[in-house]
Amino acid sequence: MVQGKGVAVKVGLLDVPLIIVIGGICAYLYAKHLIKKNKDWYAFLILFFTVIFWLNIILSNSGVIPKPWFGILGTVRVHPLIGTFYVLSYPLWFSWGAERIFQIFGRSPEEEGVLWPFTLKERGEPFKPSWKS
Amino acid sequence: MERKRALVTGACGFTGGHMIELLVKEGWEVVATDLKREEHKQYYCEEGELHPAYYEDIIEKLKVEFIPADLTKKETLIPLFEGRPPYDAIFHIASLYDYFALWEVLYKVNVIGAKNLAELAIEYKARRFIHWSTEGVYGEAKDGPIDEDHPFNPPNDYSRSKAEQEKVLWTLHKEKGLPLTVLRPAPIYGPRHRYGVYHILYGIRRIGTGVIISWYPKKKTLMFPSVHVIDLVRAALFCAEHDETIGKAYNVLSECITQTELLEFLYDALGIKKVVRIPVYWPIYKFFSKIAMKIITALDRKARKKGIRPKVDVPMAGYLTHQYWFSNKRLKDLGFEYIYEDPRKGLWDYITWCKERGWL
Repeated sequence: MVQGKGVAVKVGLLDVPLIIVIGGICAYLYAKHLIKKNKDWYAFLILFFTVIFWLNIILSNSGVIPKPWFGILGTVRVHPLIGTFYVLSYPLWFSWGAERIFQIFGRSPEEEGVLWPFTLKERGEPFKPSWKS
Repeated sequence: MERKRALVTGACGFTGGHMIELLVKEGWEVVATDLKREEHKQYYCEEGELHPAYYEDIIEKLKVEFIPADLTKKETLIPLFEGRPPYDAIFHIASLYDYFALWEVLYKVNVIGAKNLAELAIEYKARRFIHWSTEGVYGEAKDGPIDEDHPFNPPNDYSRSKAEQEKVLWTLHKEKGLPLTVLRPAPIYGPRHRYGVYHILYGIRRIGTGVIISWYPKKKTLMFPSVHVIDLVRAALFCAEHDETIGKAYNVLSECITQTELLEFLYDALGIKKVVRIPVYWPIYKFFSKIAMKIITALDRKARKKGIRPKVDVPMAGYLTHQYWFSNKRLKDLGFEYIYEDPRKGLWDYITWCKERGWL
């Protein structure tokens, strides 16, 4: 980690935990509501939030805004190579957070995730006929 | 040539319906009996997606004679026999197959009920009495597959009631000449089935993520015994037509596959794309399984207090750690051939049937 003003880029200290949480929330909303409207919503959400986080880094490093997230969430300066890998990994962290939520709550309105055997009430929607032999 | 006559108990249940279909197809004259629908509800806590169902439409469709009766009330069984020629075979399928049921109810239906019917079968000279027991009477297999001579060690109340039921019937066979053949099927599945194996498939679909656990040491492998209902009713008819089966018991099941093979197949067949593979040292797995069992037991207690039933009955969770492995050699040696020798073939057909109806 580079703390001085040499060759370094600014990145958000809490970007990864934040994008994991956002990924999880999006996964829940997608599985329970958005998937019924359009299956492409998940791809749209991951793209949308990744682009916002990337824009934040680009704008802060090009001097348009002073620090990522205006410094509210903490900033660190790192070597450009590390910074690039860090920033490029955002969609992966989003997916990682989303996958954990999919596993716990299910991937569709019919699914209830690993919570299913440990709850008394059925929360999943009925299955629809899905096969014609 | 005179048609053979059969009495089928539990006719509105899952297996009973298939038995009647086969008998009618084979040209038998069938008398069907079961509880009336409203009485059925006295014994089962509730009907629904995960509970034994009641199918009277099969009987209506096949136009067989239906006489409602309650096994626990002997007087209601008399119209099944009185004034009729002796049956060539009685297929005693009726049973309270419910892991959630209390022991007193299980004993009343399964033990007293079977005794009532068997006594009338002797009195009215039925030629054959084909009785449905369960593999569950044996309990866990310690060393390799269990055959029919293995001692009983039932692990739960339902299996205990079936073991008691068998004892009563074997006594009637020895002392009063009941022409008894006992079938001990593994967990049954097939069209219209929704209690038991269906729980595994339903659970996988509801959870949506697959988990395959590789145990270490590697020699630790749990087996999955099962039988397709078509093979089971064919085996029952086969026994009814072979008098050398009188006085004997037969395990009825496809070849056992490992639980890992089963899960690999089911995740694929049910379209579960995300599968997590976890290697675990066996004692650690057993420890976590015990915790899971404790949670499921606590849920069972909570459900009983609320007057509902849990999604998973406690004995079903026993498959997590116990070895259930049985041999089907005796029946095969007699010349019986399974259609679904590999359970994956039967499960594929069953899953397709369920998917077509939105059951999975």
